[in-house]
Amino acid sequence: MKVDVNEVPVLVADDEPLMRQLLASILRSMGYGNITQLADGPQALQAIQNNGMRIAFLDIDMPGFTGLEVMALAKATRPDCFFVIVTSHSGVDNVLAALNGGARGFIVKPFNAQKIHDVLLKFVQ
Amino acid sequence: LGIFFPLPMSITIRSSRIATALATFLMLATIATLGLAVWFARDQAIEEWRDQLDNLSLVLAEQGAQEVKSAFLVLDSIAETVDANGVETAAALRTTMSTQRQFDSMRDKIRGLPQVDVATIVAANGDVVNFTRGYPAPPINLADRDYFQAHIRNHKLGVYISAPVRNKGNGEWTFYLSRKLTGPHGEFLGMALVGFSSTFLSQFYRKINLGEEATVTLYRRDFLLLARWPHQDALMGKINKTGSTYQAIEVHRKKHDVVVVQTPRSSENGNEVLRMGAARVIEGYPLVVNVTVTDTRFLAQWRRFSAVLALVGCLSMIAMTLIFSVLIRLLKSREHDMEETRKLKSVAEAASMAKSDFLAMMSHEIRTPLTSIIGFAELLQKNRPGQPDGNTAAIILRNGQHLLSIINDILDISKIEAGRLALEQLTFSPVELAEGVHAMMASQAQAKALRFELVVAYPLPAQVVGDPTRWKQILFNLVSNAIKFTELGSVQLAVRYDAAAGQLVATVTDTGIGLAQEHQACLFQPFSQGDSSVARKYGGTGLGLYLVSQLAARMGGAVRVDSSAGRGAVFEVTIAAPLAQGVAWLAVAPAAPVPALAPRERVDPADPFARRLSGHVLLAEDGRDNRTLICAFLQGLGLTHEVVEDGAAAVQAALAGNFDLVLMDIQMPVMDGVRATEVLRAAGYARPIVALTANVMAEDLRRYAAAGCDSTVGKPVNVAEFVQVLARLLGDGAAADTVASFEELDGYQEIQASFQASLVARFDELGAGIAHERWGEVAALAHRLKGSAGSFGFPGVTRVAAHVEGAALHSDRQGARKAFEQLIALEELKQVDTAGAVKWEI
Repeated sequence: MKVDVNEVPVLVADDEPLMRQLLASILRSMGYGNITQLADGPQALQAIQNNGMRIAFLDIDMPGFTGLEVMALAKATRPDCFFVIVTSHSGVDNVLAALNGGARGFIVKPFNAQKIHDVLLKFVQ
Repeated sequence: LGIFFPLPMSITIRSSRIATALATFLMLATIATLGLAVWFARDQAIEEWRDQLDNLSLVLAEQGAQEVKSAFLVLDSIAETVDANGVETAAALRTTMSTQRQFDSMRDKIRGLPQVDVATIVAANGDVVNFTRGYPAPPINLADRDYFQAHIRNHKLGVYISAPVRNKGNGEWTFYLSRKLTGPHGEFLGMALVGFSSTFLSQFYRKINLGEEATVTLYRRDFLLLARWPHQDALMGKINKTGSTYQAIEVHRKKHDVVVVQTPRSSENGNEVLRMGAARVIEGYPLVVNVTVTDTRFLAQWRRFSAVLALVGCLSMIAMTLIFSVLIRLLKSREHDMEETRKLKSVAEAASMAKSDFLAMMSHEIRTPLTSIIGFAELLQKNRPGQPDGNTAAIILRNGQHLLSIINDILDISKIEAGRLALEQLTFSPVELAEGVHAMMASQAQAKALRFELVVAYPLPAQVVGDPTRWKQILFNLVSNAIKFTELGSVQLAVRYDAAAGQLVATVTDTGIGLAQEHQACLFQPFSQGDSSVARKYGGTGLGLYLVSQLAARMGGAVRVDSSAGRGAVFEVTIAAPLAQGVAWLAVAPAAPVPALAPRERVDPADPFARRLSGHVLLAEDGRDNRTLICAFLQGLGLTHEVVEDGAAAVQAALAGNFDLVLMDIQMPVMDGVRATEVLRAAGYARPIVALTANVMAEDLRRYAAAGCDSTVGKPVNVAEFVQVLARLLGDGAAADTVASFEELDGYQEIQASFQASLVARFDELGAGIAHERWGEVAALAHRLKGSAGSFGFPGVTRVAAHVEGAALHSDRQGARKAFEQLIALEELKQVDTAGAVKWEI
């Protein structure tokens, strides 16, 4: 991982605080230093659109908008954002919906550091 | 069939159209030719008539001139008489010229001139002095006549020709020629005139006999009609300025001419008539003669000619139409036949293709169970070496492999026949390949105590371009055939390179039973063997040599045999093998023998299971036997594994689980392996994926690689190759060790503690929800638990919470309770105080 990711703005959106913290902690261990944590859809959408998030981890089940909805709404203005859908709904229909919606990664909960690392390989490359 | 019908469809289809066009062209050409002929014939007929009429008009003019001249001679003699008698006054004229003697003299003069009707001497006041009709002359005064008036008006007028007048007595027409009589000093004494008979002229013209439509006319110079045949009273004395005479003399200003006109004709009541008129001025006199014939006369012959020509034209049209319609019909029927043939051909080809497809499919279907048989036999042999079971397994293995090679041959042949054999263009070393074949076949030769040698003719290119797999297949087939049919002696494989032809040449020589000339012809035919008795003894399908010849032909070469019964055989096979770019030539054998080629030979073939690997593998495979077999292999290698049966399940499992490698069958229901791999790669899945498939053609491999597969293992699974691929890919997994474990994360202890602390409350809620059957709430709580617990060191909670969620979604009270009981009884929760939750257990 030669790319300096310390300044890359990353959004972690999940309504469950512990999961949010865990993911942020994993990201920090990988060198990401600019992490924003949010707990609902509308806030996440605003952060992606206005605060220039380069990576967005979006939980599907969030109040306001689901992660898929946030991605669909944000995609138009921020096509460069690297969307990763995080969910415990691991059905292949969900995977296809996320990919068709423009997601670059799909993480099934419960996750480990390895999965987060693997998904971000495409981003750092 | 292609030999008999070499023309492409587009051309043959058009032949009847070409014939139609040709027929149309010929007919038009015929019509044009006939039309031109008729046109020229008409011109020619007119020209001939023109000459004829011109000549006729000349004759008539000469005749007219003679007769008019004779009449004028009469007038001249009267004038001479007047002169001779010295008449000087009008009175003297009366006395001198009114005598009986003068009368007789005049009568004598006109007696030989039938055209002259009368000769008259007129006094200066118009009184008739003497005339030939009777003596003495009656008292008639002619002062009012046109000729008299003309001479009075113009003293210088020499001669005058009058309009014709009708004789009231006999009804005949006469015109008068007159001349002045003058005294010695030019004084006007009177005039002499002769009556010229129009009737006489018209009777003469009648004799020319040009036919009913022809006319001959004499005009005064001012186109006043003097005489005519056929005679018409109404036209006499009329001026005609519409006919051909006026055209020729006045309009064209000619002395004589022949014109064709279509103008109103006086004799036809002013109707327009096409006619040809030859007009000619009579030299020396103000007279014009005209001969006219109408088209019914001068075009008569042409019309007969045209009619005959038209008849001939019609007959040839009919003949051509008949001939061409027969021809076109024949062509059409031929085209139809060809179309039928083409259809039959495509039907036959489709049937042949279907046969090949069927054969290919059947071969594939046979290979699949055979794969299991061979695989399990390998397992049995490995587990029980030296024991009876193990020996049995070895027999099964040997026979299975033999059967597999036959099936592979059939599959290859059906691919060749269906035109689906794709050849690769790779760079390979001919020496290494030949040595590989030699090494592989040496044991077989050894088993029969045969000497088996490889002879390489140097210099040989280090690298050539071609399909090494197929070339090896050819050499294997020829060498194994040679070993098979040789009981004593040796087998030799010789390899050389024909630089001029750019071909690799291999010669396999044996000292075996050989084969007779008559059997050599059908040697390279499918399903045929040299001799049926030989076939019974040695067995075989007869496919090997056919396959060799087909492969060699496809690779731009050929195979031929030289043998006779009992004296061994020499097979020579060539393939086109261009030199690789910038290739070196080997002058001698490479110093160190190159290790055998195929990857399977690089791994210790004795016991591939001697290797131990570690890792967690996901196997996606829908075939039950293959699944069992591969699971046994994985276990044998010390790998843990999970199994799914379709591509969609593979995607779900790979994303949810923690696998080090995915073995992905390609042909699977729901979602095939290629698609599943694509989806996984798109979703950011980064662990190795290995394709499992029977389709290992170059383009297939490219397809799998493009989808994101790291490697491919061919079916039937070759254990050594399988182990090697897994060892390589699982070894790569070590790189992932740089990722921190949870324990190393900053603040993980606190988060984990918070989660653990929240568990009691969560179980409380869950228990209460189940007790009150609030299923929506239960499902949501269980879902969250499922998604998080695994990350905080409670994988069991995640697993069982999924059961609770499933039961809640189905409002399954019994199932939910049971799962909940399991949940709180989990071993991993021993350090968590679940006592509070237990009270909800009923």
